[in-house]
Amino acid sequence: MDHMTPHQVIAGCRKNRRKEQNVLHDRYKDKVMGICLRFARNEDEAKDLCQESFIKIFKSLKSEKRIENLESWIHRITVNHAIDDYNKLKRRIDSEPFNQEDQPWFEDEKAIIERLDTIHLLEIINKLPTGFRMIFNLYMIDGFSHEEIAGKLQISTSTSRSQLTRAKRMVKNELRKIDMSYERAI
Amino acid sequence: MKELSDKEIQDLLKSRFEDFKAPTSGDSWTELNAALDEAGNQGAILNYMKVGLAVLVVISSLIWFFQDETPYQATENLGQSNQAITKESVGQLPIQETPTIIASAPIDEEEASTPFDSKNDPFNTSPNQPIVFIPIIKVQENSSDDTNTGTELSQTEIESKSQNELTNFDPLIPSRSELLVSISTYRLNTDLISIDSTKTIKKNSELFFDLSSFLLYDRLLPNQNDALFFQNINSDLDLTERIGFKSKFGIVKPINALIELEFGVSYLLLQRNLSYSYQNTILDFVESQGSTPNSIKSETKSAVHGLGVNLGFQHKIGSKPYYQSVGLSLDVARMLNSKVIQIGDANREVFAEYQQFLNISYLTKRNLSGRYSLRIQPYLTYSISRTLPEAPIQVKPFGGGITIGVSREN
Repeated sequence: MDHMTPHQVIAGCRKNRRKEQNVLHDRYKDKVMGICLRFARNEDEAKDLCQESFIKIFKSLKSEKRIENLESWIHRITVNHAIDDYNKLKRRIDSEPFNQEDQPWFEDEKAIIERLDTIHLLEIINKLPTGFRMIFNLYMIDGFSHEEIAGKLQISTSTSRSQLTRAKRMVKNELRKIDMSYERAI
Repeated sequence: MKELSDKEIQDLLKSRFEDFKAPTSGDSWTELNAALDEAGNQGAILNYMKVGLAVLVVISSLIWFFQDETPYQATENLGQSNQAITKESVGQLPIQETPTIIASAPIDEEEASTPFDSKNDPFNTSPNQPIVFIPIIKVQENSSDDTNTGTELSQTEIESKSQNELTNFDPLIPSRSELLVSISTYRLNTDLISIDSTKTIKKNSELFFDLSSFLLYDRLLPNQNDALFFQNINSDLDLTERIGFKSKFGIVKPINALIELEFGVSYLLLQRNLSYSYQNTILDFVESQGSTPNSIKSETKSAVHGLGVNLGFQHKIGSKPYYQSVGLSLDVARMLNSKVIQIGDANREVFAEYQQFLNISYLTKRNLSGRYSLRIQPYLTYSISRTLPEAPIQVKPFGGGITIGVSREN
């Protein structure tokens, strides 16, 4: 079953055939779950997001006429669904201005990130409040600009910037805590 | 300590999460399968409802279109001794060629109690069942104008008309000009039959052929829910590059004195030249562009054509000196070719395959000769669309233009 080419899988999914949908799910479920874990608060929420993303993927496959890179297309649909889900729940992002200046990253922080495995990095991101986590993910990992984030989350660019500054501060604090415990352990 | 830019940390985090995979539970497919079934069922119900609604509209339209235009309808059983008043029974009566007075007239109480002469009674269904007219005042004249203006006759004038003249009135007389006959209550004295009150005879549908040219002024906004982020869309190029054409053939059917229903099929040509810049917001695409994640400038010329159907109505606002009306209509068109912008793994159509438009128009007609009229109809068009299947429907200005056509009265 798994010897199907991407084109066969896509063609079958467009016809709503469970066999091909199962193949596509098998191939990309871990990847999609990885993305969902970044955006969700916990694993349960990530599972729901993952399932909804696949439903959206199967629906969108019918209307998308030409897909050259299936994996990146699935990535895009999943991220967009995470944003839609966030907007649907109408979680409000605190638009209060944050007056403290953005602090640069330092080399030791980079070193900690390099040393940590991805699961630990994920734990740090998951500790962020929902709005901060959304902006941190979109800006730092998915490469969105503040203008794009503002558009997608229906906030101002200055709110996006100030929320990212606060999110980065929280991440840095967490990184330092981990570093201190790491040093103590040594 | 050395400071680093956001970009360096961004790259590091991207690389860490790019291939990150989290194992899912074994029953995830079972759950997804169930969810897909549920979603499919909901979609099927919605589709059935849409199809049902469409069928209902078509059947209603057909019934309305082919309905008997007689104003007399028996709404109750007539009983064993009575005969139903039908089109056939009345249709056998002699037909007058060109009536001049086409309306009913009042009969006072005294007259009302007097049985008609059954020989002159067009509704006579049984010699034993005389028909009694309930008083009516309004009399309308045949007119060549689009809207007939009723002429009020004084009581004296009406009384001076012979009973014979009144009874010769035949509301079923086919006339080539537009007739409006207001028939007030007719009632048989048996109370066994009730007949529809005040009903308008609809006459004279029209066939029309229109040609129109319009300017697309729709403003394209970046689609914010899309990985392809369009920026600086400039569609303010030469106006001649944003002109569309439409030809339409259809039929207009009056519903009553003021409202006309319009149905047509159309051919549509849309053109749009765009200059824009875009960037892909997805990580791997930006990387595939090497070190140039910035916007890419592009320009595209597109022309698509399609076929559509149109349903709408016109509301008369005047008839002197010319016919005038305002209208609202809905166009649904399917584009026969498509213009696609392809970037990376993504394709975007400049015009969607299906287009829905809402038109607001003003129509005036000038009589050309005989049954032919010239139609002039400026209008504004709004597009009805949504960016994603689950997004709310948006109605946005799309264009404006003018239609010139010819109509032929049947």
